[in-house]
Amino acid sequence: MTSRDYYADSYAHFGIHEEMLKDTVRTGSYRAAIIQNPHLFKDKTVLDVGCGTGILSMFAAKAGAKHVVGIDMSNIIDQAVKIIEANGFKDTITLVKGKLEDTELPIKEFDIIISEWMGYFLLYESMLDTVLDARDKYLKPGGLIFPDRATMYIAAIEDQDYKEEKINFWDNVYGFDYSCIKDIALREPLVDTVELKAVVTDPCILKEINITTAKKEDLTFTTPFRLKSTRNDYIHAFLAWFDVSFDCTHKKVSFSTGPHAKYTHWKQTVFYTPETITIGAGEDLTGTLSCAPNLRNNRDLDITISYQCGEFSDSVDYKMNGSNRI
Amino acid sequence: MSPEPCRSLFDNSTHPSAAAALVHDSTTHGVDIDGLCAQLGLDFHGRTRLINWIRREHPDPGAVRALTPSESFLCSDDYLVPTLPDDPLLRANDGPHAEHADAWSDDDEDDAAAEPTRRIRALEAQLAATQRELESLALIARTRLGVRSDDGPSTGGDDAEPEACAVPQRDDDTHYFESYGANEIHAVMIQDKVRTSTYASFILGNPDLFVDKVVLDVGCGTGILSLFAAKAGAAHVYAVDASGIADRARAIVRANGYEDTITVIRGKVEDIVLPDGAQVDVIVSEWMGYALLYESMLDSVLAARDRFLKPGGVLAPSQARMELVLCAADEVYKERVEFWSDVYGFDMVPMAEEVFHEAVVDVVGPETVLSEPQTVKDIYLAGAVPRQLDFVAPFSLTSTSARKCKAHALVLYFDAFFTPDGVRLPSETKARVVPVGAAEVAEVWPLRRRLSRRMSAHGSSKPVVTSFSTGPASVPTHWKQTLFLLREPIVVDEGTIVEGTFHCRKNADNSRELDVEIHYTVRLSADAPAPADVVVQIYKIR
Repeated sequence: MTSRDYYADSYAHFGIHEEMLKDTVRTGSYRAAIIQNPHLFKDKTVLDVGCGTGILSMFAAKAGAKHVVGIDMSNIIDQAVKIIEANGFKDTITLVKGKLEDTELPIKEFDIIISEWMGYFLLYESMLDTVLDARDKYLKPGGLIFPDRATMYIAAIEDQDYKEEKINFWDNVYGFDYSCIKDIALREPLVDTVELKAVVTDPCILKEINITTAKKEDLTFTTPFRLKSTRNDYIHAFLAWFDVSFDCTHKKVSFSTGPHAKYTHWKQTVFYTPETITIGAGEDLTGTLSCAPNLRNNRDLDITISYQCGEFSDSVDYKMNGSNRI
Repeated sequence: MSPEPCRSLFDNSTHPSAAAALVHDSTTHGVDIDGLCAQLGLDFHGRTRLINWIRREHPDPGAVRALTPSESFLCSDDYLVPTLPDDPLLRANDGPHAEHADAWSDDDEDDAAAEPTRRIRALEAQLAATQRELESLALIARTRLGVRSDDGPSTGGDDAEPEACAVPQRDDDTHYFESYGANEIHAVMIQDKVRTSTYASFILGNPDLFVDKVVLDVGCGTGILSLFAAKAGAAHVYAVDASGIADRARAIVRANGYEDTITVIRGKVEDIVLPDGAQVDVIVSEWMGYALLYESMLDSVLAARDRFLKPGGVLAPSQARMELVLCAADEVYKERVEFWSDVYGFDMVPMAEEVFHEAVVDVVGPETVLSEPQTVKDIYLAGAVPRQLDFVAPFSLTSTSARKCKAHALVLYFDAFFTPDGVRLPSETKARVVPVGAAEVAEVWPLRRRLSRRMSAHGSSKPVVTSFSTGPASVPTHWKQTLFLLREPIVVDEGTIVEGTFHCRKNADNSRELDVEIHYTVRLSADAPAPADVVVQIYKIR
């Protein structure tokens, strides 16, 4: 038995940074958005919120930024300092360790904010709050934010085999009845990759966030959805993912974390339903999804999905607390 | 919440609502529950215990009026379990407790669990208070009985066990136990077939050891080992866990109809008391961590042995060995070290620094192993004492590689052994290896029927040793292997000898972490002169 993953301070640990850097969709998109737009960065001041190993700061410096300030509260910044130096950016990039809210930055106004703030299900443990604070406090009027738009999607999936393994597993554990854990397991959304062929309905936009104008209140929301089935099938779960785009760039760089796109470390988020839903081609599955930070621990997300399909309707309360990643 | 019919606490009358029942009990029996709660200073959980206690024990109203705040049931988790299913009285009191109507109930059989965080906090506070009491009691008991205290002053003196101090203790535990509250980790452990099926095979395959015996399960988690023991015919099983998972274990035990056989106790095994001073015939525990000793749960098992195991009783597992082996580990080295030299054209080598200070937990393939393993620690649980778990062991690993290559790591893993008579196994006894790609591991455990019949037919035959290995040759387990990456990879050829000492001790700041030092020299062959340079590398396992 072992609890290492839950026990260690995962952000001081390097593993997470390794995973993010090796996510070529993520890092490659930021690189394209920054490096391919030197006209936007030339002689500009740039703030990198949650800079981690400093990779985005270095992209910005390489794209011609006059000065870059990177801020991060994790110990990873000690390594970032060495990395910046090893790559000859000591004079262009200033790294600050601390929380944005409590820290005095060497530059008071920035032309551009860059940040990779997205969490699982876009909003779980995300740094978007901090990015919005940084925008209000430091961004010049008309300044740019990289990325500047995020869009959340929902669809429904057929997932018999995996539900069997992850949820129904608890019905029979070496011959014993563990079903009381099943109810809890069901309410923990699962971060996992899903194949496109498992998707039974058209996707539906859940939430569109314009980072240049969004307010913190926007991150607590209730949205209706309507999913049209593309075939006769069973539905075992809802699936959520997000797209991110850099609309301010010349070629409009963007990437998706959906089941149709290349793997990212965000994968997708699966919400199993207690009952299997039967749906016919062309039929609608309608419902609402509400999302709010948990009142007691605002790093956790409370998500409720209410839905109906024909005669059948149900409502399930989920809680994202990060214990359920594959 | 709409009113529900509610039974009186003192007679069989039923009233239209919880409030009406309380009025009835106050006017007819002279017991004002809310007044009494205020008088006794009871919080929500105290109130819950009081109600469940009255419902279960049927005291007369006079006895209830005479209760004092020090009643023992007010500290017992047993009385957090509703005596009446869906007892409206447990929900009746709103006011400050209205928030308990949280949709996020994690146990519908237990209304008190409707507010897990709060409940955990309250229980932790209680646990701490109870622990302090128990500590003083234990001290008195030890002094009176002259029992050897296993965590007494160590002879070495430099590494005195922090647990032995009477001064306020550092808390290495709260986070540790909380981390086991989540479900996912239990899913990972139960789904580790090598692990679970070996325990199943041992317990179900040795009914003679369990039938009509009393069993203690240390760190029971979801209770799977206790269920195996009950199924194997145990007279009684005490399942102990300090984590919140104990509440789930209780529900699981009930769901499987073993509530009369298995008693789940939430608490540290160092602190709990067993009913009527019970002693046990068998202790089962799955205490092994990464590199075997990470998390130091073995200390608790040894404490349980000293406190509860009958003379001649059996520990399962009875023995565990830590094995060290030389390994190429090319893949891990490439991913964790070389990767950082060119990340999108940038030099990020400082990120590689970590792996030379911290052990890497990962799986290495059997083809990457470059020597025979060598045992650096052989722990016989019946006789081990905690201070032996900080140790220095010599090692000498001879390369078996047919060609010249680089060893990037020393790899540590463990083997665990189970014997029905708890006998110490000689070093020749090797652990069972389930080769990667072998037939379903799950097939291992249904063999028990045949196994047990054969055993009873040849009563005098040698007892079967059950074992598993977490080494590179065996199917990967959730423990994987523990890699110590070498700052200077060693170039080895056939016969190259890497020898030195392996040091392992608890971290001084967090006793659940381990500090490892490896001192080594390299010789091209046994005939080569001893080299002058000793390389030292220091790692944390955390």
